[in-house]
Amino acid sequence: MGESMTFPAQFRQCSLEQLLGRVLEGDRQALEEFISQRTVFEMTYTFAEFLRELRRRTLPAWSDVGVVDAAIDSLVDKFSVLGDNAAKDCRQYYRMILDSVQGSALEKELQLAHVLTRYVRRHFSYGLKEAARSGEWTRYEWGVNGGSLQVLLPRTLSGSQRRQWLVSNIGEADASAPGERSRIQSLINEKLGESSFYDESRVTEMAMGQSPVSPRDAIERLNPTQLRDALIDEKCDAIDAQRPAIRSLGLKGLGNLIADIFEGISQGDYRDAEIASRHSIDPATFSRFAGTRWRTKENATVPDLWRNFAQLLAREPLLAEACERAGVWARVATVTSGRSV
Amino acid sequence: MSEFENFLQELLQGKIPTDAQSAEVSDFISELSVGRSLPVILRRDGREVGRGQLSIDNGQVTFTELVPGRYTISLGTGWQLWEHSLSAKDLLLDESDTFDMAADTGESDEHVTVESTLPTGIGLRVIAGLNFGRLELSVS
Repeated sequence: MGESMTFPAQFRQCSLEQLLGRVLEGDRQALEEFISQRTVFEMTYTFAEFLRELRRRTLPAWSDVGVVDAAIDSLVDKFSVLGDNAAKDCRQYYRMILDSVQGSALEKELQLAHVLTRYVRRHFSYGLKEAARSGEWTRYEWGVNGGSLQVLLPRTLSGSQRRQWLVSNIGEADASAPGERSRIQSLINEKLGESSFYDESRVTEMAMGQSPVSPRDAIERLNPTQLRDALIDEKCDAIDAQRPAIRSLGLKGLGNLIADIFEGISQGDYRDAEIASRHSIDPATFSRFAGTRWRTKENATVPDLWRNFAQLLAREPLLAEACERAGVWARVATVTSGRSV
Repeated sequence: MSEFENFLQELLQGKIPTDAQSAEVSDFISELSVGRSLPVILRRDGREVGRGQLSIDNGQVTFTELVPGRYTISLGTGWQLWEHSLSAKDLLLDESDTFDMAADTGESDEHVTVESTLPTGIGLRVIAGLNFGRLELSVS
């Protein structure tokens, strides 16, 4: 039998699991191999080719090419940047994806191909929505050092002002430096106010009241305390918009009320009248705030707290995704609409 | 309790994350159950010369009409599983082989010249023939 077997070039003989494992260790060559060589997406396209394909498929449905391109840019940032900042590091996604597969080497390879394809498609969809919402900011191609960087700037800065503003406020830039676009965009956001461009770490931070965390962390933190605290923070931040009787509780009183309500629900012992009485709120006000009998009335309005809670879940893509996976999304969506369920 | 309150209760009791993760896994499984196979690509001297679909449960793919050259086998995801130079000796029967076959000893008439187990557990065999060789991959 012939024994002239040789090893393939570095990385080519690595499975996706092994390759992404190297990426997690910060290996840029492994990332490059994944991005440019692995035909993982739909078992046909490399990452770079898949982005072009997504763009091609999506363009007919969007009149604004900039929205599609911004969504593509956000995918590039998410899946191809090895950054020092955990929130801007593709490893957070790859770690979560790797954690989700199991079985033999072949099964893992197949699962990873499916999961990666689905994951990138889903994030493209998020990116489109976010880019569409950030219509007040538009893309600008900043020519620097013989290269160019695409950045988002407010519409209020006209074409001729843009370059001048960047030169005055950002200073030197190197188009060829890894992560330079993200760095410049962060500086722009600092100086001109945050664009509403999709930033998962930011929305996660807002929802969880914590430092940026990975999507998997976010899902794992979909737990009673975190959610309760996020809702308490939201309600307290908007205390001036509450009904007068609720407003009169003050920040501490409102926080205690919500904590008490959540405690009752989690114990399976939620009694409106008792909680209302403990917090000196009249039954009618309490009913509108967090009552349980609203569903029995025709055309009833969903109480404030339940609607806010569902909105909190629905607003954050990670939480919404977790609800979707848990099969409760339809219920959340119905409550956010304010209709009885 | 309404459905939403039931949901809230589950959520507040910390049940949703676990459910969400298991739902994710079953989602994968259901996807995989309809397509538990991977493309396998054979290249000679860098050029694709064959492509098959290998079931990861119990699949087999055969590439035929192999002539001498440097061969690679990759999965559709780009994972290169094997690289090997196959010579005329590996792919073509010589006179003594054909003589043995003609004698019909009752044993298998396959003349396996290369046999290997790839990193994935896929079995590989190269079988010499009169005019061409063939290569078989199998998952058991």
